[in-house]
Formats: sequence, structure tokens, C-alpha cells
Amino acid sequence: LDALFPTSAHLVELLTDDTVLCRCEEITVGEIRQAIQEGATTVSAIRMLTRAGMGRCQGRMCGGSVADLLALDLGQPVEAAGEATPRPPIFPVPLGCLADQAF
Amino acid sequence: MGDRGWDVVVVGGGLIGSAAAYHLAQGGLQTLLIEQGDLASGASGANFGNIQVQDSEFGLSLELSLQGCEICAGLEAELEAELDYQRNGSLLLIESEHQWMVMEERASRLQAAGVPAQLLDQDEVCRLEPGLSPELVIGALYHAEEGSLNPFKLVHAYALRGRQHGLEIWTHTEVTNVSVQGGRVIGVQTDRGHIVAGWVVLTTGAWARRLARTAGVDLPLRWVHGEAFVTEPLPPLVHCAISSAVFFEATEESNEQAVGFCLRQRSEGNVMIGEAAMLTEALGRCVTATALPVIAQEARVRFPALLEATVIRGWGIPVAFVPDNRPLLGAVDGVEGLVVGTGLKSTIVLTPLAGTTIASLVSGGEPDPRLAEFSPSRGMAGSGH
Repeated sequence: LDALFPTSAHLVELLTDDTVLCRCEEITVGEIRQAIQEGATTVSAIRMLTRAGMGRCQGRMCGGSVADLLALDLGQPVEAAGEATPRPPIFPVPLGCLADQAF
Repeated sequence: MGDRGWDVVVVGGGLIGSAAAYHLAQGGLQTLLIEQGDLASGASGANFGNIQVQDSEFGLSLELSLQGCEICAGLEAELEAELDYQRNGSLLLIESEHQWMVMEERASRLQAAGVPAQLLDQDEVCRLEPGLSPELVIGALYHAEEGSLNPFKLVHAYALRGRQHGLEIWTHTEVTNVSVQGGRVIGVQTDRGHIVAGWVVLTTGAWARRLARTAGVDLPLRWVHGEAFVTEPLPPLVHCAISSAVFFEATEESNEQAVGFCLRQRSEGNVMIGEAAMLTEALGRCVTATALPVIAQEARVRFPALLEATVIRGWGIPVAFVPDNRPLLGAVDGVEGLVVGTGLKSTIVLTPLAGTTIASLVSGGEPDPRLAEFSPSRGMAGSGH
């Protein structure tokens, strides 16, 4: 998806502090910038500090944008932000379905 | 930093390391905190955040936990930070006659030590937690005043306040060796070169054993691979931090997955549920195919409303422990300048005290003689390492 539909670079210029960047947890650009000021340099660190990427999509939607914002504010390459550590399950699963998998 | 190097290098940016680094920097020491990943990305980031007292080991651990509980209540003010501190109470679920006997004795010993823990019968537990199924539970040990806080926020608050006192923090930097010369530490070897330091503090959880070995020290440290998961935000379902009294029955050494049930609903509504634990020598972060289903099964039978809840994230991490259930906290005999802080049974409640203890030790303060029982060099029957 990221390859087919990359975020246009100039969209970053439209960001304001109250732009919602993580829709699952409703975390704004301003909150993420606050975390950057407090020393966060990676997508994982932003996740722990702000909960951006802690929601239903687990950063699959907002992870790239958080990395772009880190690159912009810190003048670092986008790759330096890393990715939100992938954690199972790959898709959200009802607890009952998981329980049925037990031996 | 010139050739003189740092006064102290703290290795491991989790709860204990960040607390120690903050107190060291606050005391005016040139302090460097090194973390292999992001801050709080090891066992501290997998911590449920409970400030536990009633499950404490009797003796010094309990005494310090009581003290720690009071300190935790004042941490938001001390660090001028929002830490999501709450007093929700905690329940240790009793689900067998044997557990009832163990908890009955624990309740009276706790009360004698001044801990307001009380034994509840099945009706009382179910009134307190209407979401709990009466199927398994026959009672609980209840502590109304126990609280919780957000471990990520605590680690970051220590880091932020530490930096204001000159603390330097290097994340994504790996320490490969502790350098020792003539029986005293001279620094650490990292993937960014050799770092000269007068003191080295190891607060790397399970990873401490491997690092201590590079200084010729065998720590009596073991670990389980602990796994847990979290659901999406749910309407209020659970008030207290819940765990199962099965944790108090004899822990058998085996390579099979053991499940001790614990659960807490965060203020955002997400329900954290754990944990499957397996004794291992591997230092991995994987989530095994068997863990999540068995945890889900334990949760479903106790909280039927969770059946439809959506699980969004699982995690696994090595959780360090010491066979005698006491932490490793203090100076290592035989290697001057080497300090260890790991293997705490309930980490959060003892974090602030571990931080001040380490800082005072490094600053040359008079050590509390009682802490000898936490010495990383204490003799231990059957530690096997």
C-alpha cells in the first residue's frame, strides 16, 4: 500500500499542531512534536510516549507519517525512525477465536 | 567527555536504570545512560504498571515495598510529570482450597505487618468485580489502596528530569563488555567505541547475566519468557488489578508454558491480559503460537464479557527473577565499581528506592546494612550458576 500510494512530500507542509496523525488513538501532530522535543527519535519511542500507533491499526496507518514527521523535525533520514515493532496478531482477532486455538 | 571519562555509566534504560541515572545526575555525577533499543523497550515496557505490595516477599522486600508504595504516590509531584497514577486496588484471585489456605496465612501475616489486605469470600469478590464469573473463584486477597502507573511515562519522566541535571542518554547503543582492570571497572565497550567510567551500573534485566559474565561475574539470575496481550479499548469492565494466587504455589522448573492469570484495564479502556511464562535460557522477544491462545482461554473463563473483545497486540520478553525471590541490588564483591540492579519481583513499587539506593552507593554513602540480603554476590543454595 505504501508503495502504491505514497504520501506526497508536500502534504507535510500542510500539517498544523492540531492535525490528527494517529486516528485510532486520536493523537495530534502537536502531541508528537512534544514527544520529539522530549527526546524521542524513533517511531517506537513516539508510540510509547504518545500512544500514536498503539490502537487498532498498530501503526500500520500512521507509522509512515510519524517517521516523516521525525525526519522533518530532526533532519534525519526517514529510515532512521525505524518502524513500529510488528506484534502479532497481524489482524485484530476476537479473544474468543484465539481461545479456540488452545489445545 | 575527555579522557577522564564519566563518573558512572548506567547500562539499561528501563525502570531501574532510568531511576538510578536520574538520581545519580541529580547528585551531581557525570552520568551516561546507555540503552540498546529505545528507552523502556525491554521488560519495563511489558510491565503492567501495578504498584504491588500484597504479593511481596515477607521481610525486607515487604518493608521496602510499603515504603515504595508511599513514594510512588508522590512521584507525579516529585518528577512534575503526568504518570497516569491511580489507586484502583488489587485482587489476588483464590481458586482452590490450597490457595485459600496459603492466602489466609498471607493475609494474617500482611495484617500483622500493617498492610491493609483483607480476605474476601466469593460473594464479596463478585460484588466488587461484577464482570468476574463465579465459576472458578472462591475468594480473593484484596488490597484497596494498591495503585498503578504507566511504566513508559515513568521511564521517560526520569529521563527528561535527568537530562535537566546533565544526564546524557544514548539509545540504540549496545554495550558488549564491561571492562575490568586490576579488579576494578574502567568502563564499557560499546558499538560506538570504548567508554571510560569509574562506575558501571547494570540494570539490563535478564541481559545482566551475560554482561556480568564479561566482567568475570556469575549472577544467580534466571528468567522466564513472559507473554501477554492487550485488547482494544472496552467500556469499563474491571476495576482492580487482578492476578491469580496460583503465582504463590510452588514454581516448578520445567520448559513447559505455565499460565498465571493477570489482567488490568488501563484508563484508556484497553485490557491487558497475561501471562504465559516459560523458563528459558534464550533472550528473545517472540510471541509463541501457543501463548496467546492459552492466555485467551484463561481470560474467557474468568471474564466471559471478553469473548467478543478484539485483541490488537501481543508481546513477549525475558522477565528476570532470582531463585530466592529477592532482587539483585548492590555492589558486586571482587569487582570494584560494578553495581547491579535487576531481578525485582514487583519492579515498579521498588523502582524509586532502587534508584536512590544505587545513587547513594555510587556517591559513597553509608550502605544500609539490611541490603546485604539483596547483594548480587550473596551465596544461594541451588542457584546452579
